[in-house]
Amino acid sequence: MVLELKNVAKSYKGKRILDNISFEVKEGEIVSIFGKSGAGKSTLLRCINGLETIDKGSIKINGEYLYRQNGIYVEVAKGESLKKIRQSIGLVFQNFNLFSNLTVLENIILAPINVYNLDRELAVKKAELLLDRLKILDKRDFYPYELSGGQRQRVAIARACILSPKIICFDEPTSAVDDEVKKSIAEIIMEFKSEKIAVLIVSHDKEFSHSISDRIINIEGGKIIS
Amino acid sequence: MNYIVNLLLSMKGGMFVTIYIFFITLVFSIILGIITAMIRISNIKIIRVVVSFYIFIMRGTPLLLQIIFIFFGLPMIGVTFERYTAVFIAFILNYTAYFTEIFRAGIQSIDKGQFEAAKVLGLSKFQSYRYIILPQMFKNILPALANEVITLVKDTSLVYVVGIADVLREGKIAVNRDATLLPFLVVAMFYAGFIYVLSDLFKKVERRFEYYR
Repeated sequence: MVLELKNVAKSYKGKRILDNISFEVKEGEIVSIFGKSGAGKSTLLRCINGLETIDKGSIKINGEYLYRQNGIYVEVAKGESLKKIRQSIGLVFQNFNLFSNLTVLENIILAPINVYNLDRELAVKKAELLLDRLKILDKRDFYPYELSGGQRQRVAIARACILSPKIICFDEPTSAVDDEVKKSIAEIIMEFKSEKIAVLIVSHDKEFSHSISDRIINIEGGKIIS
Repeated sequence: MNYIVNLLLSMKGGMFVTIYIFFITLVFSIILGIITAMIRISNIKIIRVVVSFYIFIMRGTPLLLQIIFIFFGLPMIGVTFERYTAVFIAFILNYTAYFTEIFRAGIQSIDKGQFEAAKVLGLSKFQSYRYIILPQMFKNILPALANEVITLVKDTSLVYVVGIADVLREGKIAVNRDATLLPFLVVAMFYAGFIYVLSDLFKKVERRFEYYR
Protein backbone atom coordinates (compact mmCIF):
# COMPACT_ATOMS: atom_id res chain seq x y z
CA MET A 1 0.00 0.00 0.00
CA VAL A 2 1.26 3.46 -0.78
CA LEU A 3 -1.28 5.19 1.42
CA GLU A 4 -3.06 3.89 4.51
CA LEU A 5 -5.43 5.89 6.68
CA LYS A 6 -6.79 4.40 9.87
CA ASN A 7 -9.53 6.00 11.97
CA VAL A 8 -8.45 9.54 11.11
CA ALA A 9 -10.38 12.21 12.98
CA LYS A 10 -10.05 15.94 13.16
CA SER A 11 -12.07 18.67 14.82
CA TYR A 12 -11.84 22.42 14.51
CA LYS A 13 -13.40 24.78 17.04
CA GLY A 14 -15.49 21.94 18.41
CA LYS A 15 -16.77 20.89 15.00
CA ARG A 16 -15.92 17.46 13.59
CA ILE A 17 -14.29 17.96 10.19
CA LEU A 18 -13.11 14.38 9.68
CA ASP A 19 -14.78 11.48 11.39
CA ASN A 20 -13.16 8.06 11.59
CA ILE A 21 -11.77 8.00 8.06
CA SER A 22 -10.07 4.78 6.97
CA PHE A 23 -9.03 3.74 3.48
CA GLU A 24 -6.05 2.52 1.50
CA VAL A 25 -4.58 3.28 -1.88
CA LYS A 26 -2.59 0.68 -3.81
CA GLU A 27 0.34 1.19 -6.16
CA GLY A 28 -0.85 2.55 -9.53
CA GLU A 29 -4.42 2.99 -8.32
CA ILE A 30 -6.45 6.10 -9.12
CA VAL A 31 -8.74 7.03 -6.26
CA SER A 32 -11.07 10.00 -6.16
CA ILE A 33 -12.45 11.55 -3.04
CA PHE A 34 -15.76 12.99 -4.02
CA GLY A 35 -18.00 15.25 -2.01
CA LYS A 36 -19.75 18.58 -1.88
CA SER A 37 -18.05 21.78 -0.72
CA GLY A 38 -17.43 21.65 3.02
CA ALA A 39 -17.60 17.84 3.13
CA GLY A 40 -14.03 17.69 4.48
CA LYS A 41 -12.28 16.37 1.38
CA SER A 42 -9.76 19.23 1.08
CA THR A 43 -8.97 19.01 4.81
CA LEU A 44 -8.39 15.30 4.35
CA LEU A 45 -5.96 15.96 1.51
CA ARG A 46 -4.17 18.60 3.61
CA CYS A 47 -3.82 16.09 6.48
CA ILE A 48 -2.40 13.47 4.12
CA ASN A 49 0.19 16.00 3.00
CA GLY A 50 1.08 17.11 6.51
CA LEU A 51 -0.39 20.60 6.15
CA GLU A 52 -2.88 19.94 8.95
CA THR A 53 -2.50 17.86 12.05
CA ILE A 54 -4.99 15.18 13.04
CA ASP A 55 -6.54 14.53 16.45
CA LYS A 56 -6.81 10.77 16.19
CA GLY A 57 -5.75 7.90 13.97
CA SER A 58 -2.81 7.10 11.73
CA ILE A 59 -1.63 8.02 8.26
CA LYS A 60 1.01 5.87 6.64
CA ILE A 61 2.70 6.80 3.36
CA ASN A 62 4.83 4.26 1.53
CA GLY A 63 5.49 2.35 4.74
CA GLU A 64 6.36 5.37 6.90
CA TYR A 65 4.03 6.86 9.47
CA LEU A 66 3.25 10.53 8.94
CA TYR A 67 0.88 10.39 11.92
CA ARG A 68 0.75 7.47 14.31
CA GLN A 69 -1.71 6.88 17.12
CA ASN A 70 0.23 6.04 20.26
CA GLY A 71 -2.12 5.69 23.22
CA ILE A 72 -3.97 8.96 23.51
CA TYR A 73 -1.33 10.86 21.53
CA VAL A 74 -0.72 11.17 17.82
CA GLU A 75 2.99 11.11 16.96
CA VAL A 76 4.14 13.18 14.00
CA ALA A 77 6.98 12.14 11.69
CA LYS A 78 10.16 14.18 11.98
CA GLY A 79 13.65 14.38 10.49
CA GLU A 80 14.70 11.69 8.02
CA SER A 81 11.38 9.88 8.26
CA LEU A 82 9.48 13.04 7.29
CA LYS A 83 11.96 13.66 4.48
CA LYS A 84 11.30 10.15 3.11
CA ILE A 85 7.56 10.75 3.29
CA ARG A 86 7.83 14.09 1.49
CA GLN A 87 9.79 12.34 -1.24
CA SER A 88 7.10 9.67 -1.61
CA ILE A 89 4.16 12.02 -1.99
CA GLY A 90 3.54 14.94 -4.31
CA LEU A 91 0.77 17.50 -4.18
CA VAL A 92 -0.66 19.63 -6.96
CA PHE A 93 -2.51 22.49 -5.29
CA GLN A 94 -5.81 23.76 -6.59
CA ASN A 95 -4.27 27.14 -7.41
CA PHE A 96 -0.86 25.54 -8.09
CA ASN A 97 1.10 27.75 -5.65
CA LEU A 98 4.08 28.11 -7.95
CA PHE A 99 6.83 30.26 -6.48
CA SER A 100 6.28 33.58 -8.24
CA ASN A 101 9.90 34.76 -7.90
CA LEU A 102 11.33 31.66 -9.57
CA THR A 103 11.26 30.51 -13.20
CA VAL A 104 9.54 27.31 -14.26
CA LEU A 105 12.82 25.40 -14.12
CA GLU A 106 13.82 26.88 -10.74
CA ASN A 107 10.41 25.98 -9.32
CA ILE A 108 10.97 22.36 -10.27
CA ILE A 109 14.60 21.93 -9.22
CA LEU A 110 14.55 23.94 -5.97
CA ALA A 111 13.64 21.06 -3.66
CA PRO A 112 15.64 18.29 -5.38
CA ILE A 113 18.83 20.37 -5.12
CA ASN A 114 18.37 21.97 -1.73
CA VAL A 115 16.46 19.33 0.19
CA TYR A 116 17.53 16.07 -1.44
CA ASN A 117 21.04 17.14 -2.49
CA LEU A 118 20.56 16.10 -6.08
CA ASP A 119 23.33 17.26 -8.41
CA ARG A 120 22.19 20.43 -10.21
CA GLU A 121 22.97 19.12 -13.69
CA LEU A 122 21.05 15.93 -13.03
CA ALA A 123 18.11 17.86 -11.57
CA VAL A 124 18.00 20.15 -14.62
CA LYS A 125 18.12 17.14 -16.96
CA LYS A 126 15.27 15.44 -15.07
CA ALA A 127 13.23 18.64 -15.05
CA GLU A 128 13.74 19.17 -18.77
CA LEU A 129 12.63 15.61 -19.52
CA LEU A 130 9.49 16.16 -17.47
CA LEU A 131 8.77 19.51 -19.10
CA ASP A 132 9.23 17.92 -22.50
CA ARG A 133 6.80 15.15 -21.61
CA LEU A 134 4.31 17.72 -20.40
CA LYS A 135 4.84 19.73 -23.63
CA ILE A 136 6.06 22.91 -21.94
CA LEU A 137 9.82 22.67 -22.37
CA ASP A 138 9.76 25.96 -24.30
CA LYS A 139 8.47 27.66 -21.11
CA ARG A 140 11.46 26.53 -19.03
CA ASP A 141 12.74 30.05 -18.34
CA PHE A 142 9.37 31.75 -18.01
CA TYR A 143 8.00 33.11 -14.75
CA PRO A 144 4.62 31.79 -13.52
CA TYR A 145 2.81 35.05 -14.33
CA GLU A 146 3.75 34.60 -17.99
CA LEU A 147 1.95 31.24 -18.24
CA SER A 148 -1.66 30.28 -18.84
CA GLY A 149 -3.63 28.37 -16.18
CA GLY A 150 -3.14 25.06 -17.96
CA GLN A 151 0.61 25.62 -18.32
CA ARG A 152 0.91 26.56 -14.65
CA GLN A 153 -0.85 23.36 -13.71
CA ARG A 154 1.64 21.36 -15.77
CA VAL A 155 4.53 23.08 -14.00
CA ALA A 156 2.91 22.23 -10.66
CA ILE A 157 2.62 18.61 -11.81
CA ALA A 158 6.28 18.55 -12.88
CA ARG A 159 7.30 20.04 -9.51
CA ALA A 160 5.25 17.44 -7.65
CA CYS A 161 6.69 14.49 -9.51
CA ILE A 162 10.35 15.36 -10.07
CA LEU A 163 11.36 13.21 -7.09
CA SER A 164 9.50 10.18 -8.50
CA PRO A 165 6.87 9.94 -5.76
CA LYS A 166 4.78 6.84 -5.16
CA ILE A 167 1.59 8.85 -4.95
CA ILE A 168 0.51 12.20 -6.38
CA CYS A 169 -2.40 14.14 -4.94
CA PHE A 170 -4.50 16.58 -6.93
CA ASP A 171 -6.69 19.16 -5.23
CA GLU A 172 -9.60 20.02 -7.53
CA PRO A 173 -7.60 19.56 -10.75
CA THR A 174 -10.49 20.48 -13.03
CA SER A 175 -11.74 23.60 -11.31
CA ALA A 176 -11.61 26.57 -13.67
CA VAL A 177 -10.18 24.72 -16.67
CA ASP A 178 -11.74 24.15 -20.07
CA ASP A 179 -12.53 20.76 -21.60
CA GLU A 180 -9.30 20.66 -23.56
CA VAL A 181 -7.16 21.09 -20.42
CA LYS A 182 -9.37 18.60 -18.57
CA LYS A 183 -8.66 16.03 -21.26
CA SER A 184 -4.92 16.58 -21.03
CA ILE A 185 -4.99 16.27 -17.21
CA ALA A 186 -6.78 12.94 -17.61
CA GLU A 187 -4.07 11.80 -20.03
CA ILE A 188 -1.30 12.80 -17.62
CA ILE A 189 -3.02 10.96 -14.77
CA MET A 190 -3.39 7.83 -16.89
CA GLU A 191 0.33 8.02 -17.68
CA PHE A 192 1.06 8.03 -13.93
CA LYS A 193 -1.07 4.93 -13.57
CA SER A 194 0.89 3.15 -16.29
CA GLU A 195 4.06 3.95 -14.35
CA LYS A 196 2.56 2.43 -11.18
CA ILE A 197 2.25 5.81 -9.49
CA ALA A 198 -0.90 6.07 -7.41
CA VAL A 199 -3.08 9.13 -7.83
CA LEU A 200 -5.41 10.60 -5.24
CA ILE A 201 -7.84 13.18 -6.55
CA VAL A 202 -10.05 15.45 -4.51
CA SER A 203 -12.83 16.79 -6.67
CA HIS A 204 -16.43 17.82 -6.83
CA ASP A 205 -16.45 17.24 -10.58
CA LYS A 206 -18.53 14.05 -10.72
CA GLU A 207 -18.05 13.40 -14.41
CA PHE A 208 -14.26 13.73 -14.24
CA SER A 209 -13.95 11.64 -11.05
CA HIS A 210 -16.08 8.83 -12.47
CA SER A 211 -14.41 8.78 -15.85
CA ILE A 212 -10.87 8.49 -14.57
CA SER A 213 -10.91 6.69 -11.21
CA ASP A 214 -10.55 3.04 -10.31
CA ARG A 215 -12.41 3.76 -7.09
CA ILE A 216 -14.43 6.63 -5.68
CA ILE A 217 -14.70 7.47 -2.01
CA ASN A 218 -17.74 9.57 -1.21
CA ILE A 219 -17.47 11.91 1.75
CA GLU A 220 -20.23 13.78 3.50
CA GLY A 221 -20.01 15.67 6.78
CA GLY A 222 -16.46 14.38 7.28
CA LYS A 223 -17.51 10.73 7.02
CA ILE A 224 -17.02 8.17 4.31
CA ILE A 225 -20.52 7.27 3.17
CA SER A 226 -19.60 4.88 0.38
CA MET B 1 34.02 79.39 -4.63
CA ASN B 2 37.25 79.00 -2.71
CA TYR B 3 35.28 79.46 0.47
CA ILE B 4 32.89 76.63 -0.40
CA VAL B 5 35.77 74.30 -1.29
CA ASN B 6 37.48 75.09 2.00
CA LEU B 7 34.17 74.64 3.80
CA LEU B 8 33.63 71.23 2.22
CA LEU B 9 37.15 70.20 3.16
CA SER B 10 36.67 71.31 6.75
CA MET B 11 33.35 69.41 6.93
CA LYS B 12 34.48 66.18 5.35
CA GLY B 13 35.07 64.56 8.75
CA GLY B 14 31.47 65.35 9.71
CA MET B 15 30.18 63.97 6.43
CA PHE B 16 32.07 60.75 7.05
CA VAL B 17 30.58 60.50 10.57
CA THR B 18 27.04 60.94 9.20
CA ILE B 19 27.58 58.30 6.52
CA TYR B 20 29.25 55.97 9.02
CA ILE B 21 26.37 56.16 11.52
CA PHE B 22 23.88 55.72 8.69
CA PHE B 23 25.50 52.57 7.25
CA ILE B 24 26.21 50.83 10.54
CA THR B 25 22.63 51.46 11.71
CA LEU B 26 21.17 50.36 8.39
CA VAL B 27 23.08 47.09 8.14
CA PHE B 28 22.47 45.98 11.72
CA SER B 29 18.85 47.05 11.94
CA ILE B 30 17.92 45.36 8.67
CA ILE B 31 19.47 42.07 9.78
CA LEU B 32 17.95 42.32 13.27
CA GLY B 33 14.64 43.55 11.81
CA ILE B 34 14.29 40.41 9.67
CA ILE B 35 15.04 38.17 12.64
CA THR B 36 12.67 40.06 14.95
CA ALA B 37 9.92 40.07 12.31
CA MET B 38 10.17 36.28 12.09
CA ILE B 39 9.98 36.07 15.88
CA ARG B 40 7.06 38.52 15.93
CA ILE B 41 4.95 36.23 13.75
CA SER B 42 5.90 33.07 15.65
CA ASN B 43 3.30 30.98 17.40
CA ILE B 44 4.80 31.46 20.86
CA LYS B 45 2.62 34.03 22.55
CA ILE B 46 5.07 35.17 25.23
CA ILE B 47 7.73 35.96 22.60
CA ARG B 48 5.17 37.83 20.51
CA VAL B 49 4.14 39.89 23.54
CA VAL B 50 7.74 40.75 24.46
CA VAL B 51 8.59 41.82 20.89
CA SER B 52 5.36 43.84 20.60
CA PHE B 53 6.21 45.64 23.85
CA TYR B 54 9.73 46.43 22.62
CA ILE B 55 8.33 47.81 19.35
CA PHE B 56 5.76 49.88 21.23
CA ILE B 57 8.44 51.47 23.44
CA MET B 58 10.79 52.17 20.52
CA ARG B 59 8.11 53.68 18.32
CA GLY B 60 6.28 55.36 21.14
CA THR B 61 9.18 57.47 22.38
CA PRO B 62 11.41 59.91 20.47
CA LEU B 63 14.77 58.67 19.22
CA LEU B 64 16.36 61.75 20.78
CA LEU B 65 15.04 60.70 24.20
CA GLN B 66 16.36 57.18 23.68
CA ILE B 67 19.84 58.48 22.89
CA ILE B 68 19.76 60.73 25.98
CA PHE B 69 18.52 57.86 28.14
CA ILE B 70 21.26 55.47 27.01
CA PHE B 71 24.13 57.99 27.16
CA PHE B 72 23.14 60.16 30.14
CA GLY B 73 20.51 58.05 31.95
CA LEU B 74 22.07 54.61 32.17
CA PRO B 75 25.30 55.82 33.87
CA MET B 76 23.10 56.70 36.87
CA ILE B 77 22.60 52.97 37.43
CA GLY B 78 26.22 52.22 36.67
CA VAL B 79 25.92 51.33 32.97
CA THR B 80 28.23 53.55 30.97
CA PHE B 81 28.74 53.60 27.22
CA GLU B 82 31.20 55.47 25.08
CA ARG B 83 29.30 58.07 22.98
CA TYR B 84 29.48 56.19 19.65
CA THR B 85 28.40 52.95 21.32
CA ALA B 86 25.46 54.72 22.97
CA VAL B 87 24.41 56.24 19.66
CA PHE B 88 24.64 52.92 17.83
CA ILE B 89 22.64 51.12 20.53
CA ALA B 90 19.89 53.74 20.39
CA PHE B 91 19.78 53.96 16.59
CA ILE B 92 19.90 50.21 16.01
CA LEU B 93 17.27 49.47 18.66
CA ASN B 94 15.00 52.19 17.30
CA TYR B 95 15.36 51.36 13.62
CA THR B 96 15.13 47.60 14.22
CA ALA B 97 11.67 48.25 15.68
CA TYR B 98 10.53 50.17 12.59
CA PHE B 99 12.06 47.66 10.17
CA THR B 100 10.49 44.79 12.13
CA GLU B 101 7.04 46.20 11.47
CA ILE B 102 7.80 46.75 7.79
CA PHE B 103 9.19 43.22 7.38
CA ARG B 104 6.35 41.67 9.38
CA ALA B 105 3.78 43.31 7.13
CA GLY B 106 5.82 42.20 4.10
CA ILE B 107 5.98 38.57 5.23
CA GLN B 108 2.29 38.51 6.13
CA SER B 109 1.36 39.93 2.72
CA ILE B 110 2.76 36.83 1.03
CA ASP B 111 0.18 34.27 0.00
CA LYS B 112 -0.16 31.38 2.48
CA GLY B 113 0.10 28.99 -0.46
CA GLN B 114 3.77 29.90 -0.96
CA PHE B 115 4.59 28.73 2.59
CA GLU B 116 2.52 25.57 2.10
CA ALA B 117 4.13 24.72 -1.24
CA ALA B 118 7.56 25.09 0.37
CA LYS B 119 6.48 22.85 3.23
CA VAL B 120 5.16 20.00 1.09
CA LEU B 121 8.34 20.09 -0.97
CA GLY B 122 10.29 19.49 2.23
CA LEU B 123 12.05 22.86 2.44
CA SER B 124 13.10 23.82 5.95
CA LYS B 125 11.89 27.08 7.44
CA PHE B 126 15.27 28.65 6.76
CA GLN B 127 15.27 27.49 3.13
CA SER B 128 11.67 28.70 2.62
CA TYR B 129 12.61 32.15 3.86
CA ARG B 130 15.87 32.27 1.92
CA TYR B 131 14.59 31.18 -1.49
CA ILE B 132 10.92 32.14 -1.46
CA ILE B 133 9.65 34.39 1.32
CA LEU B 134 12.39 36.99 1.72
CA PRO B 135 12.89 37.70 -2.01
CA GLN B 136 9.13 38.17 -2.40
CA MET B 137 8.92 40.20 0.79
CA PHE B 138 11.64 42.63 -0.33
CA LYS B 139 9.81 43.32 -3.55
CA ASN B 140 6.64 44.16 -1.60
CA ILE B 141 8.24 46.38 1.02
CA LEU B 142 10.72 48.37 -1.07
CA PRO B 143 8.70 51.64 -1.07
CA ALA B 144 8.17 51.52 2.71
CA LEU B 145 11.80 50.56 3.27
CA ALA B 146 12.98 53.48 1.09
CA ASN B 147 10.94 55.92 3.21
CA GLU B 148 12.45 54.62 6.42
CA VAL B 149 15.99 54.69 5.06
CA ILE B 150 15.55 58.32 4.00
CA THR B 151 14.28 59.18 7.48
CA LEU B 152 17.36 57.50 8.93
CA VAL B 153 19.66 59.81 6.93
CA LYS B 154 18.00 62.83 8.50
CA ASP B 155 17.80 61.28 11.98
CA THR B 156 21.59 60.91 12.09
CA SER B 157 21.67 64.65 12.88
CA LEU B 158 20.35 63.81 16.37
CA VAL B 159 23.80 62.63 17.43
CA TYR B 160 24.68 66.26 18.20
CA VAL B 161 23.05 65.70 21.61
CA VAL B 162 25.96 63.56 22.80
CA GLY B 163 28.58 65.81 21.21
CA ILE B 164 29.42 63.76 18.14
CA ALA B 165 30.69 65.96 15.33
CA ASP B 166 28.47 65.01 12.43
CA VAL B 167 27.99 67.15 9.33
CA LEU B 168 25.29 69.35 10.90
CA ARG B 169 27.37 70.08 13.97
CA GLU B 170 30.38 70.98 11.82
CA GLY B 171 28.12 73.21 9.73
CA LYS B 172 26.93 74.97 12.87
CA ILE B 173 30.52 75.49 13.99
CA ALA B 174 31.33 77.01 10.58
CA VAL B 175 28.27 79.31 10.79
CA ASN B 176 29.39 80.62 14.18
CA ARG B 177 32.99 80.95 13.08
CA ASP B 178 32.41 82.66 9.73
CA ALA B 179 29.22 84.58 10.58
CA THR B 180 27.41 83.38 7.44
CA LEU B 181 24.54 80.98 6.80
CA LEU B 182 26.26 79.48 3.77
CA PRO B 183 27.53 76.40 5.69
CA PHE B 184 23.92 75.48 6.46
CA LEU B 185 23.17 75.57 2.74
CA VAL B 186 26.11 73.25 2.12
CA VAL B 187 24.84 70.91 4.85
CA ALA B 188 21.35 70.93 3.31
CA MET B 189 22.85 70.12 -0.08
CA PHE B 190 24.82 67.26 1.44
CA TYR B 191 21.67 65.70 2.96
CA ALA B 192 19.64 66.28 -0.21
CA GLY B 193 22.43 64.83 -2.38
CA PHE B 194 22.78 61.79 -0.13
CA ILE B 195 19.02 61.19 -0.22
CA TYR B 196 18.94 61.68 -3.99
CA VAL B 197 21.58 58.96 -4.42
CA LEU B 198 19.64 56.60 -2.12
CA SER B 199 16.31 57.30 -3.84
CA ASP B 200 17.91 56.60 -7.19
CA LEU B 201 19.38 53.38 -5.83
CA PHE B 202 15.97 52.26 -4.55
CA LYS B 203 14.39 53.02 -7.95
CA LYS B 204 17.03 50.84 -9.60
CA VAL B 205 16.44 48.03 -7.10
CA GLU B 206 12.67 48.28 -7.68
CA ARG B 207 13.27 47.99 -11.41
CA ARG B 208 15.45 44.93 -10.82
CA PHE B 209 12.58 43.28 -8.97
CA GLU B 210 10.20 43.90 -11.87
CA TYR B 211 11.21 40.64 -13.55
CA TYR B 212 8.27 38.85 -11.90
CA ARG B 213 4.83 39.65 -10.60
